[in-house]
Amino acid sequence: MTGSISMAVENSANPLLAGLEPERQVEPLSFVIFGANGDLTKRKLIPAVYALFMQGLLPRSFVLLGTSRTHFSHEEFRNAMKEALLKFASDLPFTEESWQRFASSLYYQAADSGTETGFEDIKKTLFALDEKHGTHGRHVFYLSTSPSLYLPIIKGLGKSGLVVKTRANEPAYPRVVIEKPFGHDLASSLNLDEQIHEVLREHQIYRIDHYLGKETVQNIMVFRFANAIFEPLWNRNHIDHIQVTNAETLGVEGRGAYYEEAGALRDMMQNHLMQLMALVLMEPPIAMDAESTRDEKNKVLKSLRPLTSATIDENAVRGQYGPGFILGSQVPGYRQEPSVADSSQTATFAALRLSVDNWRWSGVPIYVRTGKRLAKSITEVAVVFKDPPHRLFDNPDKVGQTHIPGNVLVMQIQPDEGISLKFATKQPGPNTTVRWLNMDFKYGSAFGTRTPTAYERLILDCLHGDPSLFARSDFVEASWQYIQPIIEHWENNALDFPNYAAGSWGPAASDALLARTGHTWRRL
Amino acid sequence: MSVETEPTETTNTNRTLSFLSGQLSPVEVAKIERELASLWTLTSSEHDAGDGSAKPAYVIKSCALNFVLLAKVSPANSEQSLDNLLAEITVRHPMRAILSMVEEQDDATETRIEAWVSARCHFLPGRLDKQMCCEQITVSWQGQKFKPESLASVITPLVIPDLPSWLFLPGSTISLESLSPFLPYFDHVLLDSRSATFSAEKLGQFQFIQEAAGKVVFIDLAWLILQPWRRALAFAFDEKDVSLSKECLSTLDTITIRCGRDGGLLQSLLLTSWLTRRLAFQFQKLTETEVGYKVEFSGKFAPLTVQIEKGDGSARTGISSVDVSFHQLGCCKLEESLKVSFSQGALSVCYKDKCEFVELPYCPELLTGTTSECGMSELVDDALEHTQQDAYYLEAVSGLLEMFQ
Repeated sequence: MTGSISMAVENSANPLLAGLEPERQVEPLSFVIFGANGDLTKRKLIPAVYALFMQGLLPRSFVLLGTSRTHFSHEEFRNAMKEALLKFASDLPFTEESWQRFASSLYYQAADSGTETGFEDIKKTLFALDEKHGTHGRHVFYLSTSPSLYLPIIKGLGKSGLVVKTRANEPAYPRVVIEKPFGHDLASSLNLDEQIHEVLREHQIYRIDHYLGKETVQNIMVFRFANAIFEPLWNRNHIDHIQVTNAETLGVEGRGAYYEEAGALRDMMQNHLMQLMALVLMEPPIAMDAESTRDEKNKVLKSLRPLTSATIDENAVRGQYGPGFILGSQVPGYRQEPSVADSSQTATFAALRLSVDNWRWSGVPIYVRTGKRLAKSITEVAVVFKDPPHRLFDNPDKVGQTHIPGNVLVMQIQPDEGISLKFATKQPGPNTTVRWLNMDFKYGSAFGTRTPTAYERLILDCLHGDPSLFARSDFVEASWQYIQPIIEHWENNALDFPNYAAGSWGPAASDALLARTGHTWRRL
Repeated sequence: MSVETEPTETTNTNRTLSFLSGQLSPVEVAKIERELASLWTLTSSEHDAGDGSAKPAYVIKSCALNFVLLAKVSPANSEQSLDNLLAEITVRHPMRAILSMVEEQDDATETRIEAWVSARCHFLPGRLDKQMCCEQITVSWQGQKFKPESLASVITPLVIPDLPSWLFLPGSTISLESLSPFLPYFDHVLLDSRSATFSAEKLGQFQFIQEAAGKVVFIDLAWLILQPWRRALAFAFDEKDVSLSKECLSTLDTITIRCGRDGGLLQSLLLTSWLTRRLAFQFQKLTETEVGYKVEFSGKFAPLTVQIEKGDGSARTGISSVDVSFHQLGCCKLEESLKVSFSQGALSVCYKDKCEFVELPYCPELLTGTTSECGMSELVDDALEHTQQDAYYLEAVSGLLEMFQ
């Protein structure tokens, strides 16, 4: 090229690109699902990938290769996935023509991931598909399998050469996505991490916590940091306490064997609720990049006052449901569920009072509860503000001896996702009577559009190589570090279970946990 | 003096059902807000249908923006077609929709303004017990000659404060220049400058846009449609994609833009203007040809000719293809040309034997193959996502004015 010609284009950048939004385009790649015949693949992954396809968010050169031990032809796999899509994603637009276009990217390779031959089979098929579809050897592996298979699969991928460690400044291919649980306890989590890091670098690992893909969870940051009116109040000077509730009417739904090993702390608290709480309590990140946000969330966990065997009983409550009624139907107790021991000590309910030792939150109790077979299915974060310093009005803020909190800001995660703010107003009439009302915003009605599922968002981010909404290893470790003493304490101290009836709001001790600091759980 | 009678519960229920079903309820122009408030109050109170039938589904009123659609009644802009357009848009964008129809009648002796209110409701996904509703106000202005001040005095007080406000002018039935009384009340003017010819009116329209751009954001559907074409051309000169380096942009020789017989000329002109302004070519001459236009530019090193050819493409409307050929200069010894063309719902960018694709939005119109442009509701959908003034649009407008002034 001559120097004179290059001067004709004055900017060093391509001038035609100016003003065109840098469109996030997924590079041509292959998406490999281990456990392709499993429930998660059918219920969540295939509908999510199909939704991305229908929105034009997948590249033209895209391959989805399913693999599991079950023997399927490509066509049988496509038919099974079509059936699953129609069954589990009826809200997605479906036409035979669009399905056929999508299905032309779907392939299947039966393989036993416990053997070297299995990986060789996958490798052979994958390389042939790379050639056929021009996906340039870019691979993303999704481990939709039992956690016990994570390490054998990752090691098998490493051994077969399908996965190699990349440098920090290199494109993060191949990537591996794993589902929670990330370990069974602190030791196993550290061990899992150590072994995974022998094969992959941290930036190649995508730990899915599907809570982080929910629109309402992502909105917590927008709500806090895009609105100037809330952040000045978001501290110990104005906030009395915070309640995080994750309540389910469902029981263990045939997963008794899994739940016996997990319990409420491992199933919900160590991952989803810790992530949720970190988003509510964290400082503003310096930028909206993956590491800045994850750094701030991690600081929150480091600020949690650790619980010791001397303080656990005072700050943590567990429960297990007995028989009861849910929505008019009688349901069995946990110990009567299939695959659950008659004398099981597994907690199906857990409530914690957290203390955050930092400048912003010192002295503000953070209550977190999660449970199965509770009266209602709801997940929310309620920020309860302090009362006004001086009472001007005759405010009926007590029912009996119970104090009714004043302003409450509720971020409802599910169902009926939205935000509501409770505030006082004058009831029309000759007297100055204060009435508390809710100002509601509901996602479902404020925006007329379909809300993408958490898996859609997370899979898309992973394909783009954006780990912002995935759990980083230090967060997982810090979370286990906080939870581990509680797990051990509860394992060493049996309790008389069941201690709450299905359809109630948990054990009486849960109410007592808040009563000790003069608070009550919100009536949901 | 009129005597108001207390409506019975049955008549209230009928009014509610009629309102929610989208039927237009006539209202006095001065009482539009009051009547709407009354109807929403009725819908929020649970009324039995009176005949033992089921109660109406629970209704949520939702509004995230003001959207005023202003058009003259014409065969292309019938009230029914615009009403249908609003029906489609409100499903995705909860809004206060104000449909303002202007009808000029030579024999009219006086101005007549009438108004109706109605609701636009649809069931929330998976919920047959809950409907989400927007409100629509329909205002009809009839008179001998359109008086914008007269209609503005009815419409602008209906714009809800603090919510984004959009004024949409489908087609070019109402000149932008006449809309001064409306503009202070709107954040965005959404216009559609697409046409098969370039007239003096168009010139006036673009002049007005250039002058008023500091006061209101102009979003032009003709410009939004060009985005994939711009993207395709930009990426063609990006080594990562089609292997042409950006230095080759200095060696452009001839560009041929083919568009549909029934539309696409204006888009082609805007594309020409954008491209040449971006690459700092100087306009020299515009000639009207049998099939369109020939526009000549001088470059720093060599001239560039743009041929715009109507009716020679595969699509009936919109741009069909853009062929770019190069000078043989410096190290860019290129003899072949680059071709960007529309086919099968995407733009293919081909150079030598290598093709890349730029995806177009998914919309049923593109699957017909007769147009490279989505339908109006999809375009408006896209437009409502754009809230900032695009400086490159204004640059293209400026170039266009230079060509035609």
